Amino acid sequence: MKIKSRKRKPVKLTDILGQSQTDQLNSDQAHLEANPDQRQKDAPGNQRRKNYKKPPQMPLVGILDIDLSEVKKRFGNNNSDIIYREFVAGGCDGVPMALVFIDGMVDKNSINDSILKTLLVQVHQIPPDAREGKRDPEQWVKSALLAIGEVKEVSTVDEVVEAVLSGDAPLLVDGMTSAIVTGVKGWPTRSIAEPDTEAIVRGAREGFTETLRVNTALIRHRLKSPDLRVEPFRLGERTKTDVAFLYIKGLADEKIINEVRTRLRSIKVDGILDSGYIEQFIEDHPFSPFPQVGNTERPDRVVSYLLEGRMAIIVDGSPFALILPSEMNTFMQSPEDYYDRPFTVLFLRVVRLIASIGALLLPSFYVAVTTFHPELLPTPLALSIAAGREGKPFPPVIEVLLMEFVFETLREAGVRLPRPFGQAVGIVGAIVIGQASVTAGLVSPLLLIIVSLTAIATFAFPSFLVANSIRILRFPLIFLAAASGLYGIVWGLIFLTVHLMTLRSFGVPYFYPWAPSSGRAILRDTLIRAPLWSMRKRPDAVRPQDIIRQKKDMKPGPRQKDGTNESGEADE
Amino acid sequence: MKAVKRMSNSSRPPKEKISSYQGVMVSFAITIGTLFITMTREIGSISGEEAYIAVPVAYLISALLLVPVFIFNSRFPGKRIGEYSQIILGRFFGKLLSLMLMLVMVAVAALILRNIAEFWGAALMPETPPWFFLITMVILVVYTLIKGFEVYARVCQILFLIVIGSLLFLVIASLLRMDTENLLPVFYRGWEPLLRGCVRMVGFAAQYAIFSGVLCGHLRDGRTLTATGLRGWLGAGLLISLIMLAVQGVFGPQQVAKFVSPPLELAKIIEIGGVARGLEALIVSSWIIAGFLQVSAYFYTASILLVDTFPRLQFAKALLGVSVPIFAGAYVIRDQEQLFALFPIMRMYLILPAALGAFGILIAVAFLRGLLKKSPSPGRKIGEEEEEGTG
Repeated sequence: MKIKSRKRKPVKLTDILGQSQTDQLNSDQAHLEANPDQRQKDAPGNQRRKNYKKPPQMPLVGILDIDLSEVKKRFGNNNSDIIYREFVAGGCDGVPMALVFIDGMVDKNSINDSILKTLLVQVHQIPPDAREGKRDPEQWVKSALLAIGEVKEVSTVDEVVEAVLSGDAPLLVDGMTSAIVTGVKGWPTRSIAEPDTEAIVRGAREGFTETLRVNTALIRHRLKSPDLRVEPFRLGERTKTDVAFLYIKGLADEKIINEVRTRLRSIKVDGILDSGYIEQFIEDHPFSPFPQVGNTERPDRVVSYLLEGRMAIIVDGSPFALILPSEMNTFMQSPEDYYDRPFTVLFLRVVRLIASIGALLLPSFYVAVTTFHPELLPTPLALSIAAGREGKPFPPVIEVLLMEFVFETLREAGVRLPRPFGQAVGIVGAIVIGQASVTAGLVSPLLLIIVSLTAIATFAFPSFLVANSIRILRFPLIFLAAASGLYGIVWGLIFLTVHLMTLRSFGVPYFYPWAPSSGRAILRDTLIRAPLWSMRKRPDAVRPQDIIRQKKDMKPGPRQKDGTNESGEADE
Repeated sequence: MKAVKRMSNSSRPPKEKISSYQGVMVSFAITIGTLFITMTREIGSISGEEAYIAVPVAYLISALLLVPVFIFNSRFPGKRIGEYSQIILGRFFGKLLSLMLMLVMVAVAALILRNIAEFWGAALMPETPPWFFLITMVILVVYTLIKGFEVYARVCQILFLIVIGSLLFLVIASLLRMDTENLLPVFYRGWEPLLRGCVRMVGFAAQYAIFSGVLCGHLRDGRTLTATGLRGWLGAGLLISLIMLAVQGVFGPQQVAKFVSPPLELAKIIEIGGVARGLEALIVSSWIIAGFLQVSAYFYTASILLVDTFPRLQFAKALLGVSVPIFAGAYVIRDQEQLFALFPIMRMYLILPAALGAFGILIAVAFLRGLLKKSPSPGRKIGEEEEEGTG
C-alpha cells in the first residue's frame, strides 16, 4: 500500500484566517509591494519602538504551494543559499513535501540519509501491512519515516522561517497544517582547544567554542545532574541569537534567577553578537570601570560556579560564558586555585594581591616620591634616582605618561598583529624603544624598570577584565600623584574604595566578604583558600538554597586500627 | 503624639542599617580618627608624667556619658536623638534641641577639618595652602555620604583597618626606643594633673555621645548598641592609651608637650633594621584616611540632625547645607595657633555643656513624663503606642 496524496478541494486563506485577518494580510502585502522602501523602514529595529507593531503570525494552511510560497516570500528571491527541496514521498502518487534549509548551516549527511533517503527510498521497503491505518500523515511521517533525533512541530510561517534561519530544516507536507522541524544543524565549527585567555598549569585543557550546543554539552559532560537547567532565550530581533541561561535548580537563589530572567527578557535590540552585548545590558552599574559580570572560557570554571549557586549565560557565537553574580573576590581567583594545595594557593594569591597593588600604584607612587616626598627613600636610593634623573628634560609625570603610553601602544599593536609578528613587536618594542629612550636621555632607567614591573604585574591577574580596569585607573592616579603627591594618591584610593562599596552584582555587594564582612567566608576562600575537605558550606555570597556542600569530618588521614580515620570517621 | 504621626508620614528615605561590627568600626573612626595627632600633646602638657594614665582613666570615666544614649535607645529603639527628642520634648523644643546639636556638630566638624588640613600641610606638603585640603576633603566627604550611611560604614570597615594597622605598627616599632624613666614618677604632684587630663578627655567623649545618639538609629539590631558603643569607645581608648604610652615612653613628658604632633615625631624616628626609615610619609598617608572618616562622621551627624529638624528636607540638600558652613568655618581660622587655642575652648565650653545639657534635659523631661518607665508590653516601642493613640 502506498501513501496516497489526499485530493482536496482548493482551500482559500479566508477559510482559515477569516475575512478580516486575510484582508489585513493582503493589504499589508500590497502596501509592502507598492512601497519597497517601506519594508526596510518597517523592519524591526528601524522603526521607532513606540510605533513598532509585530506583524500578525501567519498560520500554515496545509497546502504546500501556498505555504511554500509564503516562506519564499519571506526570504525574497535573491537568497542563493536557501534551498527549497520539493519532492513527492512514496512515489508518483505519494504526498508532496518540501524541505527548506540554508546551505552551509545544515548537516547534509543528515538531510540526505535521514530525511530524503527515508522519505524517497525506504518508504517503499516498509511492508504494506505495517502501513495499514496510517492515515494521519503527521504521525506517519514523524513517527515512522524521519530518522532524526530532534523533531518538533511548528504551525506558523514565521516559525518555519525562524527554524530555517537557526539552521534547522523544516519539512512542509501537503495536507498538514504544521511543519516538522528537523534538527539537522551542522555548520563548520572550531574544535575544542585550550583557552588563550585563561591558561593554567594544572587542570582541564578544554575551552568553549562558538557553538552553543557544544558549550552546553561541555558543561553537561561535567555536571551530570538533572537539576541543571538550561533555559533557552532568543535575543536580538534581527540576529535571533540563541542564549542559554544555566543554573542548578534547588541550589541557586530563586530571586536572583528571576532577576536575571527579567533582565534578559527586557533586552530589546536588533542584534546580539557576543556575550559582551548581554553583559552590558544586564549589569547593575554600567558606568563603573569595574566588571560586575564575570566571564570565562572554561567549562570547569562554569561548573564550579554553578555548584556555588551562581548562574551562567552562554551565547551562541561566543566562547565566553557570563558568570553572575560576580564579586571582586571571584575576579581574583583562578580555576587552578582549587586544584592545587592550599599553601601553594595562599602563596599565589598573596603574589596576585601584591601584583594588583603594584599594577595600580607603582607609577603614581614613583611620581609622588620623586616629585614630593624624596625623604621616603633611603639616602643611597634617593641619590641613585637623583643621578639617574639628572639632565632629563621632562618632569617625572611626563616621563611616566610617555612610557605608559608607549607600553599600551605596544600592547595594543601586539594584540592586533598576527601572533608571530605580535610577539616580535612586543619584544622589539620593549627592548629597543626602552633602551633607546634611556640612552637618548628621555627617561630615567628606574622609570623603565617601574613601567616594566607594572606591565608584568598587570598580567598576573587571573581575569583580564579587572586587569583592564586597573590599567585604566592607573592614569587618574598618576595625575593625582603629580598634582598632590601621596595626598592625591590616598584621595584617589579613598574615592575608589567608596565607589567599590557602592557596587553590587545582582544584589550581592561587590566587595563581599570584606565589606559587608563575613569572617567565615574570609577564612574559607579569599586570600586563604581553605582545604577542600574543610569547605563544608558553599559561599554564602549568592545565598544558595542548599548551603551544605559536603558531609562533616572529611579530613583525610591514615586509618586507625578500629577502622576510623583521624577525625573519628568510621571506615565504610 | 502628633509629632510621631507626622514623622511617620514624612517622605524620608528608610534608614540604612549597618551591622554591629560596622558600628564598632564607625565608632573607632569617630573616636580615634585624628584625635591622637594633637590630643597626645594636649594631655601631655596638662597631665605631665601621668598623661599615659589619664587617657585610659578618662576613657573609662567618660563611658558614663554614653549611659543616657543607651537608655534612650532601649526606650525608643531604632530612633535617632533628633527623633526621640521630639517625642520627649514635643515638636518645637525637640527640634530646637536637634538644631542646637547640629550647630555644635558643624562647629566641631569645622575645627577637625581645619586641624587635619593643617596637619597634612605640615607633614606632607608645607607649601600647599590649607584651602586645597579643605576643598578636596569636602568633595570626598559629600561624595561618600551621598552614597549613603551604609556605604560609609563599609568604607570604615575596610579603610580603618589600615589606620589601626599603622598605629599598632607605630607602637610596636617604638618599643625598642621606649625608656621607662619617661613614665615615672607618677602622682608626685598629687591627683590634680590626672584629673585635669581626664576632664579634658571628657570633652572628646561628649562628641562621641552625640554621634552615638545618631548611630543608634542605624544599627540593624538596636539591642546591640550598648555593646557596640562600649566596644567602640573602650577599644579606641585602649589604642589611644597605647599611643600615649609610646610617645611618652620615647620622648618623655616635657618633649611631648613641646611637639605639635608627637605621633608624627615618633613616625619620623622609626627605623627598622637600619633600612626602612623615613616612613612618616607612608604612615601619615594612612592618617589621611583617618581624618576623612572622622570628618565624614561629623558631616553626617550634622546633616542628619538637620533632616530630623526639618523632615521635608532631603538628605542631599541637608548635606550640602551643612557643608558650606563647615567649610567656611574651617577656612576662616587664621592659623594653627588660633586653631589650638580654639580646641580647648570649644570642647570645654561648647561641646561638653551642649552634650551634658541635651542629655540632662532629655532625661529629666522623660522622667517627669514617665517615658523612662519600662514599656508594659515588652518589645513595644513608645512611638508605636503613641501612634496608636494608646499612650
